[in-house]
Amino acid sequence: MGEFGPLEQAVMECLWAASRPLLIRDVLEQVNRGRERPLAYTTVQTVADRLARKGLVTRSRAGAAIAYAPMRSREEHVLAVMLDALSDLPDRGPVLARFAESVDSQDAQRLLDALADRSASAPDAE
Amino acid sequence: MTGNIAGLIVLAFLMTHLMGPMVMRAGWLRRHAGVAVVVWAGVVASVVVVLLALTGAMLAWPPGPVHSWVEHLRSCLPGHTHSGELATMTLALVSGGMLLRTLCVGAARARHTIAERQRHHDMVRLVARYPDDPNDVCLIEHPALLVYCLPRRSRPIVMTTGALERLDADELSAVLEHERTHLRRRHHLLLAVVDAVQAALPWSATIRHAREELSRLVEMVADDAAAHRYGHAPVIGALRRLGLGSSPPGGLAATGETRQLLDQRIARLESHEVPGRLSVGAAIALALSPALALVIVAVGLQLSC
Repeated sequence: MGEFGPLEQAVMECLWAASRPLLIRDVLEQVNRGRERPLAYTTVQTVADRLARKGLVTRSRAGAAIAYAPMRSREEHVLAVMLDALSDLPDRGPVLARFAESVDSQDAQRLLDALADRSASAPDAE
Repeated sequence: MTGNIAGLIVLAFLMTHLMGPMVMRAGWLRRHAGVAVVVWAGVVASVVVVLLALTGAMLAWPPGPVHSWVEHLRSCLPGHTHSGELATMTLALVSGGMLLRTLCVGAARARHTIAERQRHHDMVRLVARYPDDPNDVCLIEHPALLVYCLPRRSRPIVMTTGALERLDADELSAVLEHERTHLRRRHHLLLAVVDAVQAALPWSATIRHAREELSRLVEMVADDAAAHRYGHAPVIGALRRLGLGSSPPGGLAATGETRQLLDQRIARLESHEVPGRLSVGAAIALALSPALALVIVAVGLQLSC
């Protein structure tokens, strides 16, 4: 399981950077750029299919081949991670300050916006 | 046997409904976060022990199934009959069913927690950067100030670039020590277990209080560890910065409570209420409460046989 981690990240970065759905061979070409030991076509395909199974990537027909596109943008994904982290998971007590205990996602979104604003503009003096 | 079960029912009621509020009122406990964690863990354990004992007693009520089974084992003479089997069978069926249901609910909750954590980890992994120093941190690019732990083998702490930019070096060390304390002391495990118990016994006031208090107390324990290592000032500084961001204009239902907790944690550190050596002895003494419950149950059973 573990060895797919960096590959999944590489494939996702590639799909996020593209402005259109990509074929496996497009992804392969970009992922292998600057790589010492190039990845096999089937490896990239396996990783892309795993991502699709996890609901992170959509597949669509492009002629005879299948094109892959990210389900949501990188920014949206980061936001989803943050909201997820703020949501009230039982063993997530250890969020440094549990400042968003069991808030619904709309509230959490507002909270995140506010946090981002404050963090960017708050004076450093205590 | 009847007296036994009646006694256990009284004990179970005291434990599940009155013990929690009672311990809540013990103000001195708040000053010793480490002791309080042990006490509350003990309280949860004793509730579980007493309820299991009660269910066991119900199942073994003669001539219930467990009782008959034990008797059967003892005599190896199958086929003798008892009167009143229908009543005890019904009782055994009901209590056995309740036990089974409770265990299933608890297990389902624990499984859900593990699955959610895995899913979250998968999401983090796609956008994380892995800095050389500190080497146990996943970095996420986002301006919000957020640090938390995501227990697993490598890089169990998740931090935003916002936190990295906004905290000074001492505060950062203190915050990381705070998270590492959570991980070292397996706080996530404790909270997950108590959460599963609460899901299984949602009617118990004691367990509800235990869960609320424990999620608060583990933060204080981690604060103490960080303050012990890096001094009070950086921990207070980091908490203040978090507080700065935690009152958004819209206002959140939960903000009042969490804001209060943050203030409480800061006030604690400012008053230098560092737990003394005494607390270790107190912790051991108080951790004996589940053992005490076991002894009460054992003695009760012994007396009745």
